Amino acid sequence: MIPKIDYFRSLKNETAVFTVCCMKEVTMKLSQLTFGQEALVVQINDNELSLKLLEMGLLPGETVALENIAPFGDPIAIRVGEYKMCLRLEDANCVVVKIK
Amino acid sequence: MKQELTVALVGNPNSGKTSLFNALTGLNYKVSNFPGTTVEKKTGTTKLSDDITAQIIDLPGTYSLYPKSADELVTYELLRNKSETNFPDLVLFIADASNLKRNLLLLTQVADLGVPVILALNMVDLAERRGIFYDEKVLSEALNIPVLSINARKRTGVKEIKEKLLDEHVRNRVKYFSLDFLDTKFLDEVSEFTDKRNHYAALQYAINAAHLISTKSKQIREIFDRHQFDARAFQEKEILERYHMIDDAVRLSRKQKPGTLARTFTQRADKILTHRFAGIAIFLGLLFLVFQAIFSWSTLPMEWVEIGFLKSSEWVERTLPAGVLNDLLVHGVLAGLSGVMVFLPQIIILFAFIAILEDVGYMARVGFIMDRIMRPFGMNGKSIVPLISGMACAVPSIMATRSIENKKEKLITILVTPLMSCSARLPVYTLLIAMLISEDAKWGPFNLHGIVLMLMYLLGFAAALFSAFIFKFFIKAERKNFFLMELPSYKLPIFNNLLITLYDKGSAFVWGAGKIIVAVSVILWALASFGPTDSMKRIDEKYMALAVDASQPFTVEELATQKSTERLQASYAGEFGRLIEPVIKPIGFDWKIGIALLTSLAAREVFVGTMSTIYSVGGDVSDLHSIRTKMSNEKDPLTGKPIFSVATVLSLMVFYAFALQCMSTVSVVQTETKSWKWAAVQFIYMTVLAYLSSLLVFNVLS
Repeated sequence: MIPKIDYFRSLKNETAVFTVCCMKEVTMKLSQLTFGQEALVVQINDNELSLKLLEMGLLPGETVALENIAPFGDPIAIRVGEYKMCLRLEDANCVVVKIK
Repeated sequence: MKQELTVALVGNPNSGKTSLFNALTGLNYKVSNFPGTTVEKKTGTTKLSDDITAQIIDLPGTYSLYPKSADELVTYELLRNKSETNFPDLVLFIADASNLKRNLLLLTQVADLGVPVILALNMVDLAERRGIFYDEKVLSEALNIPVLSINARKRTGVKEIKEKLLDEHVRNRVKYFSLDFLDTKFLDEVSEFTDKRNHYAALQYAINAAHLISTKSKQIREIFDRHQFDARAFQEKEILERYHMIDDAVRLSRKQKPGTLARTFTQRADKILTHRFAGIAIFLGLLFLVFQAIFSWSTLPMEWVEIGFLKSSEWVERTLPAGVLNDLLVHGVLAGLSGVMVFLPQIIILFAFIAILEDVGYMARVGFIMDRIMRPFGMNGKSIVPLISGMACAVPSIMATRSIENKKEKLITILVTPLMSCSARLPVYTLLIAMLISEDAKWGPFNLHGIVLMLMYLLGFAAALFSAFIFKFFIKAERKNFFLMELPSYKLPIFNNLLITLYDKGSAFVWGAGKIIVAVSVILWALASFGPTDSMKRIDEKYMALAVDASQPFTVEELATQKSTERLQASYAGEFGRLIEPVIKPIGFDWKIGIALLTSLAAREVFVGTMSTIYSVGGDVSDLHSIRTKMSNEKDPLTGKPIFSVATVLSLMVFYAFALQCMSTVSVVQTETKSWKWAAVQFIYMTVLAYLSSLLVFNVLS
């Protein structure tokens, strides 16, 4: 999978360079995870949302995985650490993750 | 010496707080509201020893102390203000052991406000099944507070908690998050506004107040600017550092048995329950069951209520001397009370379902499944339950909107729910449809009557979605709508919690809505029974004379029926009907229908009863056939055309579909939104919608 250029911009420089060089650790949006993929949170690109998500335990470096997709494709349910929470796709779009 | 200890019960949502509260206090509690809010406050008492009792305050479940909702604000306000009378002596913090990290974030924030904290570790069994074991002692040392394992569902560990609450030696105040990295001068300046003893509480107050518009917050923002203090960056740092500290404590005290982290029941169940097809099918099936239950299981108990009131009315009528008091009690008070109590079975059934589904953990999934569909209409997934149960009765449905956290989405749901066709509209529709088409008319293989009825239900649903879509643009959102929600593990429901919930909801309805409904009912009774003295007197005299006149052809019953018709027409209600006639003439109604519009404000089905009185149908009110015939024969005295033309009947049906002819709803909306403003907005918009639609229907058809 080749990541699009626009999420590189939002990332810290080192990560982006590292990702481009090795192509092993691919960053993507939380909304783009597929079932069974475990990923680590890299950062949250929305100020209002990020505090709320941090409080809910969605911390940088925390493991997340996609667990369910609602019947109409939105929202999605993810596992964060030891519990399950749901969020809308537009909010999941603001969360950058990298595949474990 | 008698002593009372104030204990605040704090924890995340879904941590078992309600179960622990019930286990501690039983039925020794009362429900009120936190001052100036709609947030429910439960206060209970429990005996700790012979002379010490504890007053337990159940605070709403929250994730953090930076208030983003009314619930969080209440928790924060109570714990912040040391001079408050309710300021707790200590906090009993309940945490879900299967998800300890996130639960402890709030604990560390609460402790930093300077209140002693005791940690009750709940759902240890669930954690152990996942292979996670905690060492209480190590955790207690790491956090520097007492830690107790409990099982709130099985009520184990409650005795130990009570002992621990008594133990004064453990009430130490701890500090987890240090503000040393901030300038002390800055902290002192911020503390000027509130708490000089606790810098963290003061800073937190300042951050929360900085968003508001007041002279104080302007000063606070100036201080922030002067010291280049970035509140958001600070909060982010705070959360991350707290989690860092929590991580250490959790890692030290936690043992993980390898290999036990198999797929849990919840994961397997969610694969089916949120599945694209199966999930929707199961949801619709459950909905159907709930709807059926509200409709059919309630028939019998509703009959009991009705018969009970009928019997007591008869008894009062017979026992008390005839006169105004007798009439007031029977047709005013008892009729009003029965109008309230008759809904109780439906309310209990609806709330039994909702409470069980909530307790089990399914309600969160309902929101998850339906969110995408409800979103374009300014509502969220949880709005579907009130809307659908609104087809039975809007009153319990509006009470059920409490589970919607977002204020805007909750308000829109409340505003549009009464447009759903409720069961009280059914008798009205039945009567009116029968005037349009004969009962055995068919359209293909289907009964035409049933099809028209279904169209009325669809009309209500469409109007609800349409209005919601319009309101979306007019109601300001306090903040962006997030739909961040925990999907808790599935659990078995607890019977005891269910009973307590039903008791709460039932009494809230009877005492809350009941008062207003009875008052309105008494007023309507007075309007329909009294009139200008001369005309009432003339009617009485006329029938007095007729009663002794042997030559007139009517029986005693027929005379009584005719007399009540004339009295109603001459009453203030009749005057009101004539008064509003110019207004309702354009939509095809005459003054007699005007009377029915007024009296059915108590409840829509009263329309049928009023019609039968106006048209002198004696005896059984439910004899629709004779009411229908009399109504069909009614002619306009000026034009000689029938009053109940197709245009008028359809206009009436549309009016009853949209107008808020239900004081119970108005009163429950007022209770639920804590404002007469929204109750008035709803009443007005629905009346205007009804009037304009009827105007359109009547003019197109005639």
